[in-house]
Amino acid sequence: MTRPPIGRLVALLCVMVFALGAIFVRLSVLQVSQADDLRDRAADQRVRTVALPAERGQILDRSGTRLALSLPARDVYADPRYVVDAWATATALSPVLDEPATSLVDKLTADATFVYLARQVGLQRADRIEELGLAGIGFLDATRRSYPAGPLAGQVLGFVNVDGEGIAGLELEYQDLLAGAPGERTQEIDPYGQPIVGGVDVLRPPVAGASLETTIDRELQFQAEAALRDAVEHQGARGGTLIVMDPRNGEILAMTSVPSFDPNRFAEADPAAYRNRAVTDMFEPGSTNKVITAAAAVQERALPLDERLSVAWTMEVGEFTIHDAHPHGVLRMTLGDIIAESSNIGAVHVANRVGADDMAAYLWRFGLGRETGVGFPGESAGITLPLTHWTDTTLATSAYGQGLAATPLQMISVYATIANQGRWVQPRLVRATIGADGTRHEVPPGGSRRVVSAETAEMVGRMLAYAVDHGTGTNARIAGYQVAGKTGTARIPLEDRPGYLEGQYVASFIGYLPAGDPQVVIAAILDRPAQGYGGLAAAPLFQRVARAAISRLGIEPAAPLPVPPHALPLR
Amino acid sequence: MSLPARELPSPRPPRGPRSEPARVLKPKRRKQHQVGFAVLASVVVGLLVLSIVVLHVLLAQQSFRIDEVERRAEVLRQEHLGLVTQQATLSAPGRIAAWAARHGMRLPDDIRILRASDDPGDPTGTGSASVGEERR
Repeated sequence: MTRPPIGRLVALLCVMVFALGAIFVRLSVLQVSQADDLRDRAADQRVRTVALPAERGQILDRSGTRLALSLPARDVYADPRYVVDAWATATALSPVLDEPATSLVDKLTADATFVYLARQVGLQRADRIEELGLAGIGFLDATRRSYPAGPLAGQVLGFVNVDGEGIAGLELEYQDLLAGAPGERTQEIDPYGQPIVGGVDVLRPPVAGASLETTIDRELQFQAEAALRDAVEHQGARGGTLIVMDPRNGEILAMTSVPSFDPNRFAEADPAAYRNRAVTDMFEPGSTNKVITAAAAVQERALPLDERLSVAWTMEVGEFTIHDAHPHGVLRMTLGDIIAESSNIGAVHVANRVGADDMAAYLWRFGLGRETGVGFPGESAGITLPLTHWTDTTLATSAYGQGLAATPLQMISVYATIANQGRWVQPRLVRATIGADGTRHEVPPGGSRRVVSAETAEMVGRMLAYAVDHGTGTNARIAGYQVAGKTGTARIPLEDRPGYLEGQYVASFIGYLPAGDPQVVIAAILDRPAQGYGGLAAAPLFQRVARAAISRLGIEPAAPLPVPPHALPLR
Repeated sequence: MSLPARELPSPRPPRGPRSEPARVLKPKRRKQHQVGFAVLASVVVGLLVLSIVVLHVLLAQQSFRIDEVERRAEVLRQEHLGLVTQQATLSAPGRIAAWAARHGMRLPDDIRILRASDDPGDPTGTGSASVGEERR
């Protein structure tokens, strides 16, 4: 027997070693360097992860009635690669999606692997589409925001975008709280897309968002909106704002502006209507600001309350001439008369007694020039000049509410301070949050501060009641109840240059009732009404809403406040 | 006294040549044992397999039942949401006011809020002494 040549054996060994080495190298590449990628690719083929949207929290009124809630819906998408006949598919989908077939064909033939055909489709419509059994059409779980009361409190609630994110109002302010956290479900599926029983099934459940319990009273909000809408229409005004607040705790019971919109169809509305003008817009408050002048004078004892000031109908201040609303001879007026008759000249005399330092301090203390912190996006701080920028005329114009700007919310807070015995309370729109498990968490009351003494507030309240009973605010009177309030007829500054619009005013009335035991404070503001004066245009609006508040809130009459020291005969 | 004579132990039988151990089976019997073991093992394994299959079937059935219950819960949740929405929509003040207006109802032009009189002699019960007239 001959032995094989050693050379062949060595060659064979080399070949085998080389082959094994190649296999080893390839295995190393697959098992080590490409292991993660290959594992992921394998998982992609048999494991499917589906996002589970979190249920957005609801927005409730103060009695728990739903003002905003989310409903289950589905997004309809197409993968154009798997669409067999684009025209036939589009023709079948068109009537269900209410979209022209040509538009759908464009989407179905797009050079993409994923195209939305419709977002937030109702479940019934989605089921109808699914029953069509169209190739290349798929569905994703989604939610759709609904506002069951339609336009009610639309500017307060705001709205969400197509991805369910709040982009205005409380929906935006409390986005993080309302949104919750989405979850996901990972499942092992067979080649037909069905879950494999016993296979991978990992569920990370979504965490539903918390709900908001607002301070809004749905019925009162409706009455306020109807009253404001009628007043704007009746007065031919450009717009208006109305706020109803509880002065004791700052809770806003109603807040609305005209123009308004329906958050269910916000895309169809003028974006200008989205603004919650009560919080975001400012105006020169005019005579409603005299309450600050009066409070400063009483608190600082700037003049005796029975002192009779000589009040002419015009006055020179620097290079300007200031005048009262109506010509009159020189009148002898107390501070109470000046408030009741809304005399600009009288207010300037009083402010001069108070002095610029104290006047500026009281404007600040009452909250002008700074945000209230109500918790609403886009809140304006208003405009008040710092004392160092005051000119000769600033003290005079501040006395009767021109040359400075405030939001309606700031101004109603001023009156709420007087109604609340001199203590300013931060206004608020949300009083509780309710977790997904139903646990209720009270939102602690906002800050408060003493602005004037209770005695000062009581005296100013007497002057405001006197203004309604015998002064410019008689159209706000309500039989059986004593109302305290103040009219305002403010000039409107030009936008492009210094000066004011001629013959056009912002008419306002801000007041509360019952004067002796204030339970509700109301601000009624109309932009350029036909009857320009606050006492004619805004006071009746206040009266109508105050009646609704009395009925809704069950407000009892209180003992009337006495008339303050006055010089003019009662009328 | 004489003692009985002790009985002498009987002599052991002589040991013969060493015989084959008794436990050594015959080939036929050994084969029977092997078959028995195989049957027993098969039964045990079979039972184990069967129990695993049964367990899997039960798990699968439970899984289907859980899926069904989850689906049912989801349907009920959606129905609940639908009803909640319907309730909120139907009770909306704007809708009620519009319905009332369509049926000819409207708010009176002049609403007066009257207090029941404390005076039992006041037949009107309006407490008119404390209620002033409004000026428009």
